[in-house]
Amino acid sequence: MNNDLNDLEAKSEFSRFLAAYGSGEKHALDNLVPLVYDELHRLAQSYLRRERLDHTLQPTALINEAYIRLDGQTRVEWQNRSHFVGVAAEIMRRILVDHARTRNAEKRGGDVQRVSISVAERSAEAEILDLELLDDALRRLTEMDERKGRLVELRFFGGLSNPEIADVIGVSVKTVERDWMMARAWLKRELSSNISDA
Amino acid sequence: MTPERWKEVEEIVYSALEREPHHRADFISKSCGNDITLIREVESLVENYESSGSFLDGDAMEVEAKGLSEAFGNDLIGDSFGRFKITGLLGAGGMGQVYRARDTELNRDVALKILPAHLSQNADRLARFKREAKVVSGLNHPNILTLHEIGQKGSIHFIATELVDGDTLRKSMSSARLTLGDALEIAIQIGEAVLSAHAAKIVHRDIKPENIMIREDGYVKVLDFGIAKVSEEHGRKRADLDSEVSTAGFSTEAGIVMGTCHYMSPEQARSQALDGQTDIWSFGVVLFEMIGGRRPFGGESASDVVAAILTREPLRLDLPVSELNLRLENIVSKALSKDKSLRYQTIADLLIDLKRLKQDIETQTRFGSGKTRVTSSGPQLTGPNAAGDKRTKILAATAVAVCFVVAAMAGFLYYRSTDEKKIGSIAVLPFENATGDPGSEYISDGITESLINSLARLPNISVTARSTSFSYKNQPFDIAKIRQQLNVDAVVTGRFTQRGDSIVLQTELVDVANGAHIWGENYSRKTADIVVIHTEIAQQLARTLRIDLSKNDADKLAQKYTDNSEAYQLYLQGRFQTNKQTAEDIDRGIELFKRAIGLDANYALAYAGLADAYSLQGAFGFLAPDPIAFQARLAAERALAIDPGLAEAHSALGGIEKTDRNWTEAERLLRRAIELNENSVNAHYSYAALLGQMGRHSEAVLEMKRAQRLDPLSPRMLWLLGRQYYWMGEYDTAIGYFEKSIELDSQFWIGYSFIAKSSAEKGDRSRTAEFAQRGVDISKRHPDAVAALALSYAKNGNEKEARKLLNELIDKSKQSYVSPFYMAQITAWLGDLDQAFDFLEKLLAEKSGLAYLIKVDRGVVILNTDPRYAKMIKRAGLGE
Repeated sequence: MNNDLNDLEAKSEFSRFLAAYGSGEKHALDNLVPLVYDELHRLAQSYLRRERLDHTLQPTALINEAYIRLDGQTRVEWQNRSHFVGVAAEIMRRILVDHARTRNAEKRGGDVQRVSISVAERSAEAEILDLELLDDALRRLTEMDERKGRLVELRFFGGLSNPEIADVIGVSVKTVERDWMMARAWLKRELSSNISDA
Repeated sequence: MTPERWKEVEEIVYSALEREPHHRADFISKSCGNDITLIREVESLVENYESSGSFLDGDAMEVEAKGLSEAFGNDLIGDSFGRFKITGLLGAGGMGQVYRARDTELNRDVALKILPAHLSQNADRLARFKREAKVVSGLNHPNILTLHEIGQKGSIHFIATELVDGDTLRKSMSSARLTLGDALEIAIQIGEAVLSAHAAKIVHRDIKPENIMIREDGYVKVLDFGIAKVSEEHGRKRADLDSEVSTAGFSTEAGIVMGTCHYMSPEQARSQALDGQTDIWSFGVVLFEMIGGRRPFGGESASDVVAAILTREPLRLDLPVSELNLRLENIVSKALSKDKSLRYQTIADLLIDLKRLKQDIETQTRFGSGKTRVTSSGPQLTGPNAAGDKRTKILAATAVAVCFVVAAMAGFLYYRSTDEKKIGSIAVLPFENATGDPGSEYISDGITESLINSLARLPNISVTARSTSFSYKNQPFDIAKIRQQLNVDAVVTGRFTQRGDSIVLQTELVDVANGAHIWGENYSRKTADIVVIHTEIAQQLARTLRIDLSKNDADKLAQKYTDNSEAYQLYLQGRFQTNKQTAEDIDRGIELFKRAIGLDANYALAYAGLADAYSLQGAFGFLAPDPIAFQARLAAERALAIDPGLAEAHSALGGIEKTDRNWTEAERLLRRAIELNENSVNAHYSYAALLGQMGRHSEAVLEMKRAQRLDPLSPRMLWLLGRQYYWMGEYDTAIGYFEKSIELDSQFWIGYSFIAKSSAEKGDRSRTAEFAQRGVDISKRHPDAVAALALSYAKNGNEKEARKLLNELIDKSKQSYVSPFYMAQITAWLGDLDQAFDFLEKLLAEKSGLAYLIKVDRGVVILNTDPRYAKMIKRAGLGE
């Protein structure tokens, strides 16, 4: 359990890195992620104690709450709200993918080989998404088409709706819908071919 | 891919998606020109778009939620709840977090479960839950989890129950293998628990493998009595509140709960009042899953599952045919009756049937009558269903509630649309030839077949394949038998007579469920109009069944392949002969197709028929492959050139490309054939065979099963499926299918030969010898059967007899064509490696369609320790 002093330190660190990230220092994200994760952890715990887990944890709402708690006093200047949700989505992506990666590694258990998923099982198995693989595919999508990459990040990791995304990216909702259709088909293809190659 | 290239791909995909599905392929090939890579990229994206279902509909938080809550949940360790001190996390599932805790007063370990907020924060619900929980616990039933205490700490309510050392049924099914005996034992214990609760007027409402624990000593414990009811009310409330959620939000939530909906009864899905029969249904689903290794109702999303529960018949259990298995299937099917009046009325009735069955199985096993082995293909029943589970546990607290939202909505929708009964599958029984002239048989058979083909082109309806339909030829109409064997909603019957220059066809559509007449019509036409009669019937049926036809579907249906009624009749005769599948009949068929083409040079179907007939000659080894393949290719290419949208032509040419090992092209053509006609058994099985030959075994099995479902009574289909398993080295499963094939047709010789080959691999000598001999006798010494017999001798160390058979084939090959593959097999078993390789070289040289067997046939694969083998595989383009 963190004591007050640690709390205080965390808070000031958070403001510092957030400000740095806001002004374009990309590596600041590496420092933000563990801070937010800890905060998330604490939040989830209190949710658990209050048994509020039956409320779906909404990614941006969580980050928002974490943000308010961590950055209660010293308010960092953000260009606008869209910038904030963009960062939130990025942080969530990192946290969730890292988490999935750790669990996958545990499951694989050292030198035990990763079992390939046969196609017969695929239809059922397809319901479970491997965030690690998705993250990888998403990176490749972004290299090819940055806007679609960002869209997926905002929507899937940030939990934003299409109109919100249109707002953040600065395109029409129609474009978001079209992009989403394409990005989804591409990612699905990438993920399923990954399975059959495994 | 470069961003520029990607832009290009994108534009074509968007434009393709704007077109109707059946125009897409043409559009894509036009837009992409000859750029094969581009075509594939576009096609695969379009395909993935079509099948994307609920992919990525939720958000990442949901996906990872279970992992997170487990990680975070560990934090309560060390906390005390009254006299219970938490020592570990047992799992996040069912109705919330479950912990292992120590009862510090009684010094024993318990399971401590924190009640979800929606339950604990409503005084009425909590009170009722407590009351019910106490009643159930008070039953003191050994199969019901014992409740120790319902307590409270601050605002948190918890229950402490007995701690079960063991796994949930879900876990047992996914990790170990359940034998039939185990499955019945578990089912009976679950039934006892439910019986006792029902007697106390308590309905469980949420029976599923996650709620059933199996203790290490074999005791089964049913958990969570009484919770579901309270939760359901909560869910219904939410359903009201959420009735305005957008479609997107709807499917997102639906995505969370895959797995939970599978066990829901139809009345539950419709949010109707529930009684004990809902538990009987859920129990039936669990029983099905334990035995069949999969669930009876599936679907991509929760709403698909609910739709399946409400509208579809359950999948088949697919057990080997035996009297006891049939009884078992009947028990399951009676538990899964949508109509409550046809379902078991009480769990007691169901239990009696189960116990009797179990007893009879045990008696039979004890007295070892090998004939009716219940589990035939080995008693191991696997459960590949671990998958659904992970999903189920995700944010499990919301799962049930959300599921009811989905159910309530989907239930409402389907309830309305099913006021009128929906017919989704149909079989056409062979029309009766009532002319008294056997020479007219080909007309009644031909119209039947043409009608099957026409109906197969209709969207949204599955049509039983020809060969299965024709197993009903000259059989009395027996609706009960049809119901049991065919799994279709309705059947078309017909009676054909001739009066002078006219033909008369009396047709009828009959509801399989109750034998009721749905529609009927008499067609009287001039003989010259015979060409269109099946089209008229198909159009009328489409209207009767209210199938929405797009313009394109309607055109396709109305399409006449020839205007020449004589050519049409010759074509029908050609199919009639070819379907008999003997060398002479196929020869006759080829002649008839040629005459049809002589009358109408643009008769694409006749060309496709000709190609199929030639291919059959090759496949059965009746003639030397090379010249045959050439003829077949010419005919198929001609058919395709005349009618580029003809599924039959794609499938025929695809089969030929497969034989020639042009696998990419074969795959493209066959997939296109399936796209053009979902109900084409030929296309499905050729594609399956292709996948098998390419070593994509699990895909092959799936595809083969699709074909088999369309053609359930075809021994050949069962044999192909079995052969696939034989190639994969799963001999027990393979033998199961071979046994079924000979059960359907006791003269199906290749089934016997393959039982022999599989038994040989298992080391079952006596069975090998017996079945190999029968294959040889029935087939009148077909080389394939002779080779199997030689194998049986070789395995029994009788080299002399094996060599005798080898010489028999060599002699025979001097008179007529015998594929060198069979000689290669025998020499390989005898250890004459040089000779074996010589035969295989010969096989490759003559471009045999059997060349793929070098890679997959278990008899030849033994050569793979020899370096020549790998080289040969590579050289022949058979992969690594």
